[in-house]
This record gives sequence, structure tokens and C-alpha cells, in this order.
Amino acid sequence: MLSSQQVLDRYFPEVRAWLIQTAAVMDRLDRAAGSPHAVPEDERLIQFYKSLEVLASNDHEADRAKKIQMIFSDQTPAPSRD
Amino acid sequence: MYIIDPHIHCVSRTMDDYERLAMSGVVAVSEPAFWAGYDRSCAQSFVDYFRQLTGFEPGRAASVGIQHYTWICINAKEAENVTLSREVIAEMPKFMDKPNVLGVGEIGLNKNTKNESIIFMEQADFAVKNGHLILIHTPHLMDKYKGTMMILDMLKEVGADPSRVLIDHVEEHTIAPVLDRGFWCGMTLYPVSKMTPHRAADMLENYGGERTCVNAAADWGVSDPFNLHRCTLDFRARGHSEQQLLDIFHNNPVKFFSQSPNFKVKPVVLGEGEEAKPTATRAAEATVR
Repeated sequence: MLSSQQVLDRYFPEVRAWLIQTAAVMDRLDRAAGSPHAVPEDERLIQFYKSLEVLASNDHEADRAKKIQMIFSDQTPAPSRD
Repeated sequence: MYIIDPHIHCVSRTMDDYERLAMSGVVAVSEPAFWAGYDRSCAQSFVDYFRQLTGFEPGRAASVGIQHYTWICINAKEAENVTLSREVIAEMPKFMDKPNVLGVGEIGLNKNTKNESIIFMEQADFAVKNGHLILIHTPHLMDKYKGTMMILDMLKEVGADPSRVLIDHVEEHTIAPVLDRGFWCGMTLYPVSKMTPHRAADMLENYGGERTCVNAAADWGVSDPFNLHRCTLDFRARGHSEQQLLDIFHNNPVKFFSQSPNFKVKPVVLGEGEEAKPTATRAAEATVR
């Protein structure tokens, strides 16, 4: 198992790249004709902002990947086979 | 390093891929029946596909020393057509005794519909009643959690033995319910949009790697069979031993697949201080086998 320092050294470059990529997509949304403010009820945007809240959490027991997976999951009841 | 890719769609790959897989330590592959990228027009199309899986592909793989195994079914996407599905299911028994067939798969759900569920139940029931192993496709993205839970409920209903079922494409939110119920799980590494090699290594560490296989599910879409190797690199860089790598990327598939008498690969256990043999040596031995 790697130390926390080794984890940071090994994975920081790609995390930095992903965060900048995410920021760039948000900027692109803002620049687009019909900016995100024109589709405030789009479920994907709601999920997106909820996920950012999870990312920003400083809770060390957060289990962030699982929480974000559930934000993006359909949790409606299963259909009947009858 | 010895590797088994437990889920790859070789019919969509070239001989170049087979050759590079052999050169990079892959000794065996397992190929589930799946969606061709378009809906087939009749059951006979599936019969020809099953002939390809049981006749042509083993020969291509053997030419570079790789053992090819396969699974027979109608896939989750085309299962939406119940009439066609039942015609295909009626043809399946003709192929279940072929020497490279391991079981029924990859059955599953795609959009979690009523029709998909009906055909899933019929194929799972066929497998259980005839003593076949089962390989399961779980839906992607927003449909994965609900579909996985539906599949777990249906497997209980049909009386499947969890130790003879591998549920594939698990992610962070679905791995625990699968393992907790005693099933095997598979993690699939995609270049974009889904599971990554690093996240798979996280889950191997978090859940211990028991009853867990890792695959790249390379097919006709954007995919890369060497994502599996990228996962081995990351897992090794985290300080895990050669034996731990062998156990996850070779011996776990051996353990699950060996429940079928058709599977011939044996586990690899290193002696004290012994390193896995160089790839070239392994490839030569595989060719001899």
C-alpha cells in the first residue's frame, strides 16, 4: 500500500488535468448559446452540481466515488414482468 | 506475468491484437456472445455467430498460443425482441457441448425493461437447469445500479448458485451487493466514460480481490485490450507482489472458469523468491501447449 505522500505524487498530475478539463467544460457551457441558465431543470446539470459538492467535501470517510455513482443512478422501481 | 482476459470480443479484433496479447503475457481469453452493433434479422444469424465463436475463433487464437473460450446466449440488447430471443434460445443447446464453451453469457439487462427481464429469466433458468456457468452483463451508466439489483433479485428467484455466476461491469456502487451475496464479480476497464484502471486498482484494494476478475471487454467500439495491462502496472506500482498480481489477473479467472470441465488452464503459484517467467518464455510454452 502506498503512503499518502506517494499517492499524491503519483496521481496529482492526472487529477489536476481532470479538474481543469471539468472547468473547461463549465466555461464552454457558459459560452454556449442557450447557456446552462437556459436549461436549469436539466437533470444532468443538477447531478453535475451535486457531484461537485461531494468532491468538495472534506469528510475523510466520504466514499466519494460511490456517492457520485449514486447521484448519477436511476433509482426508480423495477418494472413488473406480468 | 501470466494474464487471462476473462471478457473480450475477439470477433471484433484483428490478428494484430491477438499477437500483441500473446506477446504481453495473455495465455487465455474468454469471449461472451454479445451485440454486434446492429440488430440481427433472424435466429440463423446467431447460429452462424455461435459457429464463429466455437469454430473459427479458437483457431485464430491458437495460432499465437492463446487458448480461446466462449459463452453462448442472446445478448441483453436484442433480448428486447422476445420472439426472436426464444428462437435463439432454442438453438443454444446445439452449442453448449462444444469443447471451448464455458456456459451461458453474457446475459443481462440493457435498459432494465420488462422484455429484457423475461428473457433474462428464461436464459438463467436454462443455465441453472442444465448445470451451466453464467456470465452476466450489467447495464451501463444511469441504469447500472437499478439493473444490478434487478439481476440479483432474479438470480435468487431462479435459484442460481452464486459461486457459479460472474456478474460483470461492477463499479463502486454495485460491487458490494454482488460480493455480499456470494457472487463473482468482474470489473471492466474502458478507455472513456466508465471504469478506469486506477479505479479498478482502488476497488481491488478496498474489497480484497476475492471472487474478482478484471477485463477490458475490448470490442468493435472505442476499447483497448491493453487497459487490463495498465491495471496490472498500477497495481504493481502500489507495492503489490507478483503473486498477488497473478492471483487476480490469472488465478481468479482460472478458479471461476475451472468449474467448467472444458477449461484447461491451471493456477500459477510462484516459489519463494521466484519471479514470473519472461513473456517470451511463456509464449513459447503456450504454443507448445
